[in-house]
Amino acid sequence: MRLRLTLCYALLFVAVALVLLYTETVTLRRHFAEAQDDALLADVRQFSALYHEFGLQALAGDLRRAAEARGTENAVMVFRRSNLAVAASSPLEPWQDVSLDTPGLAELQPGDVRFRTLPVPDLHLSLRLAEACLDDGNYLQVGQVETAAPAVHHYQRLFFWVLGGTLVLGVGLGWLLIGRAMAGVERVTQTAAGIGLGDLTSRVPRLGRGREIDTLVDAFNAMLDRIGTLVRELREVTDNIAHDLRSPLTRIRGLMETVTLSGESLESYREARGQVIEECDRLVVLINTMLDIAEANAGLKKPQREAVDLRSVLAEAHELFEPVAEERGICFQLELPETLPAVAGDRRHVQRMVANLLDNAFKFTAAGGQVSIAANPVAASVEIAVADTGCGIPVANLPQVFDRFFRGEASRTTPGNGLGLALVQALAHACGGEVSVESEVGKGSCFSVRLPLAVTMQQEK
Amino acid sequence: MTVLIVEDDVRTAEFVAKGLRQAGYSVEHATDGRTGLGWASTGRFDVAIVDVMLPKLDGISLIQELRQRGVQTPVIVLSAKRSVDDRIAGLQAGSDDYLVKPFSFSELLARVQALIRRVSAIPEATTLGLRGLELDTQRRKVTLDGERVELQPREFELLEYLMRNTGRVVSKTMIMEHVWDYNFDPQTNVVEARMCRLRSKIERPGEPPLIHTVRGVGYVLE
Repeated sequence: MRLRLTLCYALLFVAVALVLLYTETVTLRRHFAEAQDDALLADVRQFSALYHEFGLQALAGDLRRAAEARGTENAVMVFRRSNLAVAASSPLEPWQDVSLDTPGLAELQPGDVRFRTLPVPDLHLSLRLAEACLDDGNYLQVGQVETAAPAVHHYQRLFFWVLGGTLVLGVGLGWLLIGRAMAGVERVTQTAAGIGLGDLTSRVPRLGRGREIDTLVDAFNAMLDRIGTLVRELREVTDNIAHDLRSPLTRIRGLMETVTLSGESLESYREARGQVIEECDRLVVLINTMLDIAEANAGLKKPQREAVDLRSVLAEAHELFEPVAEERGICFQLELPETLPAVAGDRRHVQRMVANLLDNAFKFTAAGGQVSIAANPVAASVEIAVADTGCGIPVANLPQVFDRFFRGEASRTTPGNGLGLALVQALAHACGGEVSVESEVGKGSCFSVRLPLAVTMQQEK
Repeated sequence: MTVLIVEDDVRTAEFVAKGLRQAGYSVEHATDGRTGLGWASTGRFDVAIVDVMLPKLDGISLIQELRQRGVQTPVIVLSAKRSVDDRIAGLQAGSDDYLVKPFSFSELLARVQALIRRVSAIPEATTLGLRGLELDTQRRKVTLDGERVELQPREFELLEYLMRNTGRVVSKTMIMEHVWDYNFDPQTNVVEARMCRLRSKIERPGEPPLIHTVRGVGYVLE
């Protein structure tokens, strides 16, 4: 993987560099050729002007001086009569191998200028030659060794050195960088593989090398945390199911077994029959409540968010529990303000929360005690408070009262499944609310549920 | 009255069939969706009880197909799924009622009877009577041996519900749902307490009671 990535990048780099080199070379060549042709043309103009003004003698001297100034092996100038015979020239010794009698020269008309490129054998050079037919029918040839080729060669050589250097440096650096990036990915992969083998506790270490890798590591670890929480919750639920289903099943089985074995009266059969049905119903309630809590906690089902009129829900709940209060000699009060803004939530969920809190309050309040239910707007929410004058909860147990299956010392002997308050919390959280509890041993407890106002629900939309 | 049960779990079907036969219905039982659809399509049943998870053809498709064929037999869906969405899916397919497993038989029976009453379109009586007790739903008045009995609104609704089901057992869950519109039964014995108060108002000491408690199942008025 690492090698493949490095090679790919190197290859891509070289390809791009070669394309660049090619276009540069072509442009350079053209540029040099044009500059040289312009210079040759200027020479032709200058020499022909000299010839017209001062005659052949002056030109001959000038041609020699000019060639010597440029180097006789670099430049050549030839003046020919209209019959092509050489009348004056710069030193021709270095140019013996070059055929300066270019074909078609005679066809040039006076005033015409043409360019030729002639190879110089042995030296691997070319001669660029400007040929002109002067006004009097004589010919002037001005030539210069091509300057483009050596310059371009020089440029190319330089380019390849730089390219080579860059390539070595780039491949080396790329190898290192890819190695580091891959190491980060490798760590994530190894952890993922470990988790595949069942180890959910491991986390990818964050080494602080490369922001992208760290972001990946963070996201991966956050995902692991969430999975861990879900798995732990699921395990807790299964453990609790195993435990809490066993007890009622044992009772059901025991009930039927004793009745069957003892062969008692019809009345005891009837009694056992009713008890078995009640146990079964409790089992169903237990399973359903656990599912409700799990559903609300996992956020799998978005609760219906409607505007709930708390006054009517609380009044109904008060009306529902009132006979129980009377029967048990408990003073049951409902304290509602004149008006109460609607809260956002699911009416059935609110019913359930209030009923569960009242269940709880009545369970722990003895005859002569007091249970009250109140609701008041607090900031952008409404707080429902259910207070009792029951036995209270020890401070040490307060953080646990909303936990699933938590049952304090006082409630061990009372009927209940330890899920009521957990469901209240799960339902409250599901609709964006909060739960809290205050309690003093011997004086009583006050459970509160805060639910968001329906107005904020609309603003959210 | 003939009831069709489409249910692949034979033991469930057996106890439902037994209970329904005891209540005076004749019962036929299909164990898979396709057979059930075939039988139901004849239209000779008064009520069909259909499980959702069935071999060959699931319950929801069965009901849809049945309705497409123009058969209007009332259908009660039985399901192990209890979410609102599943309930809605069942009702949208064309079922008339929805019952979640595990269900109490008395509740199933009450729903079967309610559907038959609805289809036969017998107008609901506005005055109900049992022994010396009379209830007038229009004037919302209850009399015991001619003497006016003062009931709170919920007590009136509770008594009306019991009287409309005279002789049939109604469970606490059914009472919570019909009288208070709660879809659960609180742990506190709210129904018992209410029933106790109602009894004290409509029963005379020394005379045989009107409301009987059936332990574990519910209450019956007779």
